[in-house]
Amino acid sequence: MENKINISKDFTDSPGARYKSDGPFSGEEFYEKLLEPKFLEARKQNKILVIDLDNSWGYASSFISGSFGKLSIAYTANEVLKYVNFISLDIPLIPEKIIKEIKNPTRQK
Amino acid sequence: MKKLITTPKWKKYLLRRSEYRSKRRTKLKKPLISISEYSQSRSNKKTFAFHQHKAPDNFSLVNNPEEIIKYFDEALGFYENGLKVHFDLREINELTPDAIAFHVAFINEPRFTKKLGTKGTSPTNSQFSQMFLESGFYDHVNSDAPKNNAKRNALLHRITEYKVENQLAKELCEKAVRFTFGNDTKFHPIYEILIECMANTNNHAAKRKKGKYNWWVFEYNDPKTKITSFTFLDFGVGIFKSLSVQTFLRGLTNIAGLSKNVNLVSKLMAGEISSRTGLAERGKGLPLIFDHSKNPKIGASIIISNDVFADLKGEKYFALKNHFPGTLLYWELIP
Repeated sequence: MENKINISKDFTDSPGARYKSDGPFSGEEFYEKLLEPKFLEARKQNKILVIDLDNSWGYASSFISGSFGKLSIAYTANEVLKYVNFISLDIPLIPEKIIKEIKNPTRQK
Repeated sequence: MKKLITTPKWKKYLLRRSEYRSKRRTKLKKPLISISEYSQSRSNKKTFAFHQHKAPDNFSLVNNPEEIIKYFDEALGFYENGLKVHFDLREINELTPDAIAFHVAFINEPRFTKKLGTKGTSPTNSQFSQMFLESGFYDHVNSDAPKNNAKRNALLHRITEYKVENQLAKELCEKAVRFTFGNDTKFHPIYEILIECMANTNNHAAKRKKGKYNWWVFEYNDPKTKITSFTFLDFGVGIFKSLSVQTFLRGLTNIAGLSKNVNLVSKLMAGEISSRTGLAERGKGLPLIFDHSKNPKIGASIIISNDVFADLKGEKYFALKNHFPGTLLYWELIP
């Protein structure tokens, strides 16, 4: 059984910026509440974590770096890309941007 | 019975009192004036209290940046000299939504107005005065003009909590796509631009301190063209005085031409400055905004900050003679 996160249903359809201090539904909040726990679960079970990016208003660069970038820094890009896949029919180019961030994560403050 | 004064002390006192009363009785009084003369003198006093400041004919920041910035820069000078300012917009013959946003933000900024009195006269042109009315401008000033209860075609909003407001961004975008596209499509570029603007203001507007400045956002739905325009502005330090850019400039040695802000725009849009400084968490918003400006559903896409005017869509950048006191972004959603 695959793990899945549907961001618009499980988190919000209007993601915010990078840090919790920036405002609600930040990348940092997403990372702490959903992304990291689900990633660790998938890794433990040797399953794929599927991230459904559809039905969202969009993903600011700061949200992506605050969540996926942070995951990459914590667990390495190879590890993240081994266990995480993306679904995005609405915004086809978004997975590419996220993967780019995972491969070259933004240094956090 | 009358008292008989005989002592020198009391005689001297009575004499002085008599002289004093005599002077009061014979003192020349001011001549009486008519009521109309009195009213005129009062109104004359009121006129001289405010410095009349006539607006440029083309009241548009995106189309006429130099004159508009100079106009408000002059107003700033009047306030700094202790003068109250009367913004006279009666004779303008061009008006764009960005100028309305800048105008209301400026006069609501205590740092600029020094809390001195401010007045204004709306445009004589009925179409322009209607634009002011529908924008919600009068919700943010003391005025006899009717408040924009209908708010049919525009939304003017100000946030003082200094944070990113996802829900507001979502509402603005829903309104925009409904008006311009006629449906409920989640058009992500306008949402992402808004979030980036808010996040950048919160994090960059003050050099060292987060959350020092607030921001204004104005969404205008043009009933004739069906275009929705967005104006986002803050009166922070500006992009080119931000920490990441200053850090970048300090790291440069003997590279001719890059010391001018306008020459940095391409690098900023490519995200090169943030990666060079190592402050990669900052400055990713601008490359995203630049990318979205190429979307065919995004019309004009303009940034004005410090002494730079950047037309992102046309990739034309030029230096301004007059400095903009912060950062303004303007973009359009076209049908």
